This record gives sequence, structure tokens and C-alpha cells, in this order.
Amino acid sequence: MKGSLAIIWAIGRKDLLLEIRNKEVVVSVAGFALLVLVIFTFAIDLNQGNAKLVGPGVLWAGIAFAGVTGLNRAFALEVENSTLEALMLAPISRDLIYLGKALGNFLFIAVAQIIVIPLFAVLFNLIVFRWEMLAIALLTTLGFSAVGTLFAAMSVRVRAREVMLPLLFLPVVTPLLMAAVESTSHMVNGRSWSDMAQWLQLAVAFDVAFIVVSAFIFQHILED
Amino acid sequence: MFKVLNLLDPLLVLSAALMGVTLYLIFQWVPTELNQGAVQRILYFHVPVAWGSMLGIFVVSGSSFMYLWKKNEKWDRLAVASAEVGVVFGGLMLLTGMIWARPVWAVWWTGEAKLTTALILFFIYVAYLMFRAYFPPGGQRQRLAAIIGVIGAIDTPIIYFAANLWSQAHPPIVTGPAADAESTLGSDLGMVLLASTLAFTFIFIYLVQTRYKIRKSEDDLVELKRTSTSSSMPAGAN
Amino acid sequence: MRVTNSVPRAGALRIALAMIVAFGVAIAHSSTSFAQDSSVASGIVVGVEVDDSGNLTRFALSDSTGTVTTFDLSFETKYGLENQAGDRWVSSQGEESAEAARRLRDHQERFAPITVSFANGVASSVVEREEGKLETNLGYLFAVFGITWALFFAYVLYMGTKQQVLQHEIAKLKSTLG
Repeated sequence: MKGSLAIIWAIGRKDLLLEIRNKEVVVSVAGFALLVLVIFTFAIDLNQGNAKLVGPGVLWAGIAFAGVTGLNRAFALEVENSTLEALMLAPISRDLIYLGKALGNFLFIAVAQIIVIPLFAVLFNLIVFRWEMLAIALLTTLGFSAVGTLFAAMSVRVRAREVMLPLLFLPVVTPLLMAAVESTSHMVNGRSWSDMAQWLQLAVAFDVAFIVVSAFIFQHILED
Repeated sequence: MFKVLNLLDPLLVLSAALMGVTLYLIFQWVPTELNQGAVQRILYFHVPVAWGSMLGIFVVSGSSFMYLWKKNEKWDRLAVASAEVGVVFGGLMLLTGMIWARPVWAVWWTGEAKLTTALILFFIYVAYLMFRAYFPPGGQRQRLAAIIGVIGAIDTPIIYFAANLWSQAHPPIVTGPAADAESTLGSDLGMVLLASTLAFTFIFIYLVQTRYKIRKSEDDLVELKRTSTSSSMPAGAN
Repeated sequence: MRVTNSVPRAGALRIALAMIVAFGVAIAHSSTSFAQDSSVASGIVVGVEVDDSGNLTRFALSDSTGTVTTFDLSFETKYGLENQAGDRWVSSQGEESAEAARRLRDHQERFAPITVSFANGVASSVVEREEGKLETNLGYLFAVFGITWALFFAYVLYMGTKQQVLQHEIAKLKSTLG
């Protein structure tokens, strides 16, 4: 068990070190998400009333779309450097490779959110620095990286990779996206845990189901 | 063309006969529903078509699972055939549903749970087919496609649960003349639906079978091409 | 068409054509018949006749041209009528005839239009007239049928062409090999 965690961390850390050096994924995710937010502040005539109504939706739609570009990038790097083959040659089981890669992607999207969410609070004039927000963001990012890592690994060899990943990823994460938007909307309207409990439970169920199934199924993807 | 379609297929003949009976039942036998009028007859097409698309999803996920387990080509062919037919049925389900909703609910579309679920599932299986079309042929394509089939099945209850919660928080806007009227037909309705569903199920099986054969021919062709290139070329050449 | 064996093809073609014609006839026939053999009249109620216990026995309708028609009722006559608030009441002559009389009087006082389906002077259903309802709704119904069949035929045709091309290629390859 301890050994497995060490392997997962080693793979995640490898991606993280690479990212610290070239900053490609985090910058592209955060930049894309911020642009979505800014464009929406122009597209919608924002005021106190409708910021609470549309804000949560815009935030999570932005992060979902930006997340897709980041996931694409993360796996493209592995392919360009042929490091995926090297990883597969290593004497470790496939589910650990999956969990390691998912950990890396989780960290990228989480760091991007640390940049995006405060700026969202400024642009939409909403209070988001609450524990609820942390829980929502963690659960959503966990689900995004669980599903995203699986699909990104699947679509690396597809001709139109940039198109294929969002087409696969977005419909599958819709329930999670609904949960994130609805609970954020409860939060900005000043309601607390009990109101968003059902949504958070849904997010937890989604995360658990997809982490377990993906780890289990990942061996079929990297099989050759 | 007509020969390869095998129009004398007992399944097709049976479904044509049943469809004739169904059309008679729909337009002649069953009385007009009082709240909705003639449009209610759309239901006799919409429900069986929706059933067909659900059947498609069920077969895709089942045979995807079997493919991952047994690695037998046969399951992959069945999966792709029923995915394609399922998407055709699913598209019809969405279209007929919208056409029905317009006069009855006064909107083409609304955030009702079943509608949202159907639409998202439709997108997932369209993505499944696109993935197959874009991925280079071979064993890996079949394996990865099977994974998408299984993921779609796992996601279905979660999507439905989420869509349900969502539509409770945002009650669907339906304002049409018969938005919440109970049906006045009762058992007549069930009778016609049964006949119609049976007819469409036979059409579904016929279409899947035809698509399955095409997939088989494609495999045969690839196999033939491989033997022809290896036999016509001198040994050692690639 | 490079099909060598032409006998079964001709048979299949004939059956396919017969099927298309049969579907067409069935749809065309029924579309006219269920609009005709129970005719439809719309207008406002101009007279309501009840028996001693207050049950509806006959009513008169004036259509847009001013023609007044009197309708008899049968045990099976169905009602689908709304009050001023828009609540719909659905029942039949056999069940709540007295209520039907009250509802029609209410419509008479409000000049609220209704649509009557009838055969031989006996009304089979008496419903609230909604904007062009029975007539325009047929468009939606036939849109559904048209789209469904067009899509199925297109899909079958597409599969047929694809299979034919494949079989042709296979036959060609086989002949060069063998």
C-alpha cells in the first residue's frame, strides 16, 4: 500500500516537475478560463442581480472547457517525448500509472483554479472564499481529472485529438458540472451545507465511481 | 442494392406486417385523446422509438463489456451495429419528442429530467461513433471503443439522478394547453403502444443485423486485402 | 447494379414497392378518414336543453358563418371543457351529464368557443376550442411520420449502398486471387 502510494506520487511528481519547468498546462488552463470569464462579463450585462444567477455557470463552464485544453496538452507532451512507452515499460501495474497521471492532472487544474477563482470573485463581485467553495472545487477537480485522464489517454492516437477529447469528456462529466454549478449557486446565495448536500453527495458518488472504474479499466488502454 | 438489403428477410416482412396493423390501430382504431387531440398519436411513434434507442444503449454496453472480457470480434461488431442504429433511433426520439412538445407544452424543449438524460446519452453515443471513425483501425480501436461503451452505461444512472435533481431545482416551463392533463385513453393506449413497440423492435433488429453484416464484410475485405498483398508480392517485401 | 442473379432482386423490388405503396395508402387513407367520418364543427353554444333531472339532452352550436346546428348526444359522448380560470374538466355524457349541461351554459354565457366532433348529428366529443387545434395539429403529426420514415429509408439506403460496394470489392479481389 505504502509502495503504491510512493509510485503514484513519483509519477505525479515527475509531471509536476516538468510543469514547474515549462508551465505549459497551468498557464494555458488558467489563461483560457480567465478569457472565458472576461468575455462573459462583456456578453452579459452584469449587475448585482444577475451575477449570482449566471456567475456559477460561467465559472464552471469556463473551467471545464479550459480543463479540456489542459488535458490535451498534458498527454500530447507524453506522446511528443515518447515517455508514455517508457512508463509502460516500467514494472508497475497500470492502475498506478493511471492514478499517478490523474494526480498530476488534478494538481494542474487545482493550481489553475487557485488563480481563476479569486479573479472570478473580483469580476463577478461575488463572495467565494468559503469552505463550501473549497469542497466544491476539490470534488469537481477530482472528477474532471479522473474522467479526463482516462479519455485523454484514449484519444492521444485519434486523428482529430483536439476535437475528440471534449466530445467524449463533456457529456460524461455533465452530472458533475451540474453539481458544481448548483452547489456554487447555493453558496453565492448565502445558503449552507444542508442545501447543497444532495449535490455534493452526487459529486462524491461520481468521483468514487469514475476513479475506481477508470483505474480498473486503464489496463485495457495501455495494452498493446 | 435490394439484394444486399435482403428485403425478404422474415424479420422485415414481419415488421412490415406489424407496422401495417399498427398504422391501422393508430389512425383508425384508437380514439382521439380529448386533451391533446390528434398530436397525441405522435406518442405511438415516439415511445417505441425511445424504447429502440434504450435497447441500443443496453446492447452497446452489454456487448462492449463482453468484448473486453472475451475479446471476440463478434461482440465488437454487435456493439458498433447497435450503437449506430441506437443513435438513429435516439435522433428520432429527440425529434418526435420535440414535435410533440411544441403543441402540447408550448415549447420545443425544456429541462425535464428524461429529456436532459436522453440528450446527454445521445451525445455520448455520437462521440462513441466519432471515436471509432477517427481512430486508426485495429484491435486497439475496438478495445477503446468498448471502454467508451462501458463508461456510457456507468454514467447513465448518474446522469439521470443529476438531471432529476436539476429539474426539481428548476421546474420545467410547460405552459401548453394540455401540459399536465391525464390521458383519457387508458387501456386502448397500452394496446396500440404494445403493437407499435413490437413493430419497431423488429425494425431495430433488422437494422442491427444489416449493419452487423456490413461490419463483417469490412473485416472480410481487410483480410482479403492482406492475403492478396502477401501472395502477390515477393516474399520479404513489405 | 452489378447483381448477376436478377430473379430474387425483381421479387424483392416488387415487395419493397408494394410495401411503400401500402404504407402510403394506409397513411393517406387514415389521414382523410379520421378527419372526415367524424366531422368537426367549431363555434359558440347558442342553446342548451336539459331533461327534468338536469341532464344534458341536446345543444345548439352557431359556427362562424352563423349556421346553427343542433347536436344530439350519446352515452359515450366525451367532454373536455375548461372553466374561465383554465382548469380542464374531462368526463363523458354517461358519467356526468348534468355537469356537462352546467359547463356548456357557462360557455354560452362567456361566448367561449368549442369544437364538436360528430357523426350523423350525434356528437362524439365536445372539447374546448384551442387555437386551430384539431386542424393544425395534424401538421405536427404528419411531420413526425414523414421524418421517421424518411430517416429509416435514408439509413437503409445508405447501408445498402455501402454493403453493395463492399461486396463488389470483395468479389473483385476474390476473382483476382482465385
